[in-house]
Amino acid sequence: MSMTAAILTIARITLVRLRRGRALWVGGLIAALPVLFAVAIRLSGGGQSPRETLFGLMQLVLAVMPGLFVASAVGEDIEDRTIAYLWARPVPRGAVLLGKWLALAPIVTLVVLASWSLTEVVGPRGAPSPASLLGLGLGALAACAVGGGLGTIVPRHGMAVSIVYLLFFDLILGAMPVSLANLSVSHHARLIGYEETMALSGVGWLVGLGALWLVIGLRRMRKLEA
Amino acid sequence: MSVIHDLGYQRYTGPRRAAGTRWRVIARQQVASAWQTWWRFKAALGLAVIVMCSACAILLLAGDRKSSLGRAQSFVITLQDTVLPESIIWFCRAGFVLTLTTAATVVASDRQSGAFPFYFARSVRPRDYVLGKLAGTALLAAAIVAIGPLVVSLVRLGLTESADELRGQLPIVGKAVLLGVLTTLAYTAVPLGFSALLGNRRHAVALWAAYYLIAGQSLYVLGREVWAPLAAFDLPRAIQAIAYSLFDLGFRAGRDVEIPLGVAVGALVAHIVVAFAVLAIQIRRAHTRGVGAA
Amino acid sequence: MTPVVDRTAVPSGTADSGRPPVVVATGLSKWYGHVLGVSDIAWTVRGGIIGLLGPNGAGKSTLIKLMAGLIRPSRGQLRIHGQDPFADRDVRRRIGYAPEHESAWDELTALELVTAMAELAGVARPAAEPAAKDALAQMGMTDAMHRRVKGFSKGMRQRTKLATAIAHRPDFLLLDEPLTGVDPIARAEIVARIRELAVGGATVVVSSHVLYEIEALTSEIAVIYRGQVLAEGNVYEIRRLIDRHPHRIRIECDRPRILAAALAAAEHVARIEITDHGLLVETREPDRCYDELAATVLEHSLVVSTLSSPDNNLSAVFDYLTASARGDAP
Repeated sequence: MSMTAAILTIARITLVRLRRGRALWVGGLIAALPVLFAVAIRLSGGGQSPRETLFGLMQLVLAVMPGLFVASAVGEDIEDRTIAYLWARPVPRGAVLLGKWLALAPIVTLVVLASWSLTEVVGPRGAPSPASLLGLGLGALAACAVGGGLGTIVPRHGMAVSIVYLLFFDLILGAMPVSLANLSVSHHARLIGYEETMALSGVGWLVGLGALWLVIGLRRMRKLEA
Repeated sequence: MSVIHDLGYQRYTGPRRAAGTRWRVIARQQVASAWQTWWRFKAALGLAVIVMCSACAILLLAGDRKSSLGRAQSFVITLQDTVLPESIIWFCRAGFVLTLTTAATVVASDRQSGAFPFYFARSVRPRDYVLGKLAGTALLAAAIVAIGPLVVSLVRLGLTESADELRGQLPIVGKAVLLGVLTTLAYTAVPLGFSALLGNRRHAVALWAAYYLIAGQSLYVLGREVWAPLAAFDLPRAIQAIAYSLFDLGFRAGRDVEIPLGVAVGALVAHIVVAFAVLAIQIRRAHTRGVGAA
Repeated sequence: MTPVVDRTAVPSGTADSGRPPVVVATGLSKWYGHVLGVSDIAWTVRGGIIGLLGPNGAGKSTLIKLMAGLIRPSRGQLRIHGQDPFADRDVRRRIGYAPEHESAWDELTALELVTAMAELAGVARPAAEPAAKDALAQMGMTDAMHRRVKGFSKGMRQRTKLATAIAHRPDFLLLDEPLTGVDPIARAEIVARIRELAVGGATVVVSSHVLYEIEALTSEIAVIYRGQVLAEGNVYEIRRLIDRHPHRIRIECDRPRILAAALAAAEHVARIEITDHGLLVETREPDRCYDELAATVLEHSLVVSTLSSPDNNLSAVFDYLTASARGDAP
């Protein structure tokens, strides 16, 4: 079976399972929190919340969502032992990670962008800027790749490790005033989406970081056992 | 007529553990299973040790310079005095890591793996289960968020230069213990409550993380913008506010939301009570639905 | 125990030395950290149905997982149709694997699950659904195929799992405890189906620790014990090789003492026990004993009502083998 066909089949199965499970509802609830915050600020007459706060909340959403959807996807199959169904077939091992990422990363991105758009509609600007959508969208895709990679390194605790990495390591790394900050997904998402600068190099870094984490995940998949 | 044939089987007639102490078995098992892998407990413990060592190092280096955070009029607050209350937020971060790998998954894991029948097919009552899980998780949480502050307070005592100063500093041990107990309760009960809300462990963890991070941050900002007491519903900030109050530190103007001690304690107690209630109700419900209905 | 199914139509397994080998394991070992899975296994399978026998924890599932390409050997070599099943994914197209556990993607219907598995095994998309329907029908799951796996009983999960293993028509089937939790009617259907697949040319390795399940399927076995292959081949031949234990023959006849007197003189007879209705003979040469038995019966016109061998079955063979491996044989 070709890599593409395997990826598409696994992505299709993943989407059907997602549609029928509860993860999407839990993800929706999490993504609704910044919107509720913006609404609460507006209703309470406290004025419009600072955009920085709203973007900061979205970065927290970005830290949690890849953990919920992508990081636990491979680990869940290993823990539940359903991975045996995939690996006993002539499927390239990497197709499992790529298929799951292909199905879940766009969903996470859509949910994050929908949340941000609604937050912005209620918030100070009235509408999301294209740069903020680009920054958060690419940031979500790259964060999902980070989650996927970490999920293959620590399959049983992929979700927790992904949240801790994106929250404590990636965000802190991104805040450093040195070039190491370039290794942070949240740093580039912030540069593109909030500060609306360095769009091209930022896009390049996000694509590169996402690809790097996927390659790490793919290499790790080769060694994993059911 | 029913009859039991003697086929060599004999009912256990030896001493039995008292029903009231069976929760200890569950607590012990909880601690043992968390200790088994690196990621469940030891990673968070490692973070807590790093925080503790850093705090002790800062204590040694800080000297007796005056801190700008002191709010007491009658005595001077030194930098050394601020290390413990300032470090508590970092211990909370290590505690949060523990909740992600252990506490927020406890009940959901048992439901997902169908472990409830193993408990309730025996003479284990729902309260034994709740108590056992709470005690086990509390022991783990205490090792992260209570032991560290206690050690820092003891090191602070060790740095005193006279008996009078030592006597004067003694209360900080009590304060550190009080802070540790409150933090332990919060980082035990609340994630356990979340773990009882949903039957899937990753959903429970995600919801807890979102509540702790996103809802907590939102409420803190709402506290700053709209009504200060709302900020107390951000768990780590409420604990920090208690620490500041206990150690007579003032909040940083324009940066921190000034949360009164009573409000912080109230918010913390409310969290703990609601979490206990959720935990108890959910476990009782699972039990009354019958073994296997989890 | 007497086999309940006629085995005559099923091709023999390891004994058929004319066929190219399907499985060749040499020095195959697998450790999980400090825990031994299988150790230094040398084993060749040429076709037919082979029962993989062993107590819990003996290493049956590890060996099956190794053959399915799910885990990599720690040492040694394993070839399926001449290829490494872990590294060469093409060979996995020819493998049908039904795992021991019941887990499946509960959100999918049985048809969706089996269709997806057929597709992933290389069946073209338009053909995958008919193939899945056919496999589910063979496992008696037609009525339930549009239901989600989540609501399935253990037996239904088991049958769905078997359908995923056969949907892409593999020529090498690895079935790990396939009859666990299946009701007796379905069990008979599944046994018949597995035998049909073997008659059709497929090689089937079935693991179980329930002896009569294997006995219903095949007389070709491999006994795994503490991670090693203790014995392999035809169960009756293996029995013959266990010379430590004399072969027992139970005879019920009208005049047992005459028969006992005639057999007592024979060198190969180790012990004779006379009971109310007959006698129990222990012999080291069963074929010779049967010949002499027949001659004595004819000579004295004895009326024989029952002639059986209480330990000429899998259970006895298994007990003898594992007992000697444990070192507690008499």
